[in-house]
Amino acid sequence: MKHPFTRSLRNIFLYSAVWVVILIFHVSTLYILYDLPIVIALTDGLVFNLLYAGIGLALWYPVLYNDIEKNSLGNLTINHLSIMALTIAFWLSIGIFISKTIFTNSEIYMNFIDSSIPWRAYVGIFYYMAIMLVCYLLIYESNLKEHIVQESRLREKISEAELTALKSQINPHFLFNSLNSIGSLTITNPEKAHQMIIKLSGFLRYSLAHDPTKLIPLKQEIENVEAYIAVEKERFGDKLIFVKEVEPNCEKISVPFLILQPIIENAIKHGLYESTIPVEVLIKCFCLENGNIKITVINGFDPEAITRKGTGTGLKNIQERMKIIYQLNDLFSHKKHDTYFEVSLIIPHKTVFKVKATT
Amino acid sequence: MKVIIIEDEAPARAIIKSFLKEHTDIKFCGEFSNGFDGIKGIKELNPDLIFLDVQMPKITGFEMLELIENPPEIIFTTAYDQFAIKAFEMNAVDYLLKPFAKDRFKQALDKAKAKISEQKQEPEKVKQVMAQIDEKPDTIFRIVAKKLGQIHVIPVENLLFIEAKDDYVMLHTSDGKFLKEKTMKYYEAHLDAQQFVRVHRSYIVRIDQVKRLEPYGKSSYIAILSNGQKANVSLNGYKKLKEVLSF
Repeated sequence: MKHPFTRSLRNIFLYSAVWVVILIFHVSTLYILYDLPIVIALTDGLVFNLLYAGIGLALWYPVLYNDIEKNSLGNLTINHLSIMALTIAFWLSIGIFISKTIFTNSEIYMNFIDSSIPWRAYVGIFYYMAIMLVCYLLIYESNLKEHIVQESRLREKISEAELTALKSQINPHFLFNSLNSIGSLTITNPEKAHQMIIKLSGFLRYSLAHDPTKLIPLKQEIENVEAYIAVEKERFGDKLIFVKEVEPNCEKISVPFLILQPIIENAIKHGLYESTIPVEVLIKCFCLENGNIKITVINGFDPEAITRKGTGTGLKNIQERMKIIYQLNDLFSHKKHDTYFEVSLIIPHKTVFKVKATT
Repeated sequence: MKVIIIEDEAPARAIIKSFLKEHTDIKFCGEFSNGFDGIKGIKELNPDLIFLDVQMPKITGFEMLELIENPPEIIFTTAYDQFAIKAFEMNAVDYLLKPFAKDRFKQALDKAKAKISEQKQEPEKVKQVMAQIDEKPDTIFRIVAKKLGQIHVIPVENLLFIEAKDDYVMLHTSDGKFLKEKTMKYYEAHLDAQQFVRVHRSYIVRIDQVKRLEPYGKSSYIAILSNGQKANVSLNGYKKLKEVLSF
């Protein structure tokens, strides 16, 4: 950490200003209360305060090497008491030596200076403590800032890691059942098998190839969802009804990568997989008046099916990612109705937090 | 030899049908897309062999088997269920891992044929698989049961208490009473311990159903449940209740 008092011009100015104020008090006290001549008062003030201002700069280093968190209270006390004693002894002896040299002939001053040693020592202790306090506060503040920055970086890292995990976590049940369907079609309907391989490849490529931390046009996200649905449709036929209502002007908007697929997968898993009757999955995207877009995924479910209460990790991940990317809490919501389940996302038209665009 | 398929995906049924066509001694009798229809199909068609999918809507292949008294020969099919696969392997019950090769299919079918012609069906092996599946360290969320020919899927939330009845257990639920061929130990292990407590060798009760406890004899109690029924509580059970309810 750089020396805080001399780090910038502004800080140098502030540090000097404080000493100028002290100097004014010092001089006026000597002049008014002690009736010393103005020249003597001014010289005394200049000598002692300039000296302490210089020593004050050096006091930063003992602070730096007496870290509150790394040293015991006993150690800190002993160190500071000895540094303080040295500082004051040094300051007083040099100050008195200089002043006495200047005013050798002034009897008033010679009497005054010897009697002034005790209060000068008290003032010296006070200055020492004030400087220490300021230094430790500055260190604390800088640590806190660093901590906050590190924490947000860490969170970014975690969400990246989570996303990587998400990517590699293509549902094995989906994958092997799809491969089984393709295997079946190669015998019963090779043309269709070929189409299904293309769809499945497209879906896999999209999930694997993109940079997970980038934003991507909604159009591509929708196309990926359609490829996924097409594969599921081959497995479940008419039992899966997919409806898409997307306003064309929404399609250019950038959305987080792979934000829709887990929502659709969740809808299929809890709706379609557990139902013996046809299930509809509906995706709606439209622009709101403030320029944001709203994406809603609605899926029906078989009300008679008794399913395990999901742990909700999939949806929780989406919520967490939205929070990190846009720094807003209320962009994601979900609700279970009597016969359908609804998930809503609001995509702000402006990204507050640049997702990885910086590095 | 009569064969049926119980599987929820049409292409998965189609490949089995297509492979079966090459075996002239097989009479393909029907296909069903879920466990409920499967049970009806088994009853009506009385097949010798079933190709049974594990993952199906509403009730799984295993849950379906729990509801059948004398299951025929079974070849399980599954795409990805590590736990089930382990159970099959441990008990040498045949299964097909989707997608499967024609050779592998023929091998499984031949094995089944041999067993059926020798009348050496091994339903106890399937039972062992089921017992293995019961070891899965999950809390259950539904129970399938049959009463008067009707199949009931009961959410665990509706379960009030369980009473031991010799080799069976009586499930008392808000939908009525159901007899099941399972052990108290199974339910003790697979019900949420925060909600259900085994208060006695013969009783597991839902905690929020206990209205009050009355002393009974020297060192035991009787729990009065909110529907007025009573359950014995042993000293040990009393301790467990005390712990969970912290009274």
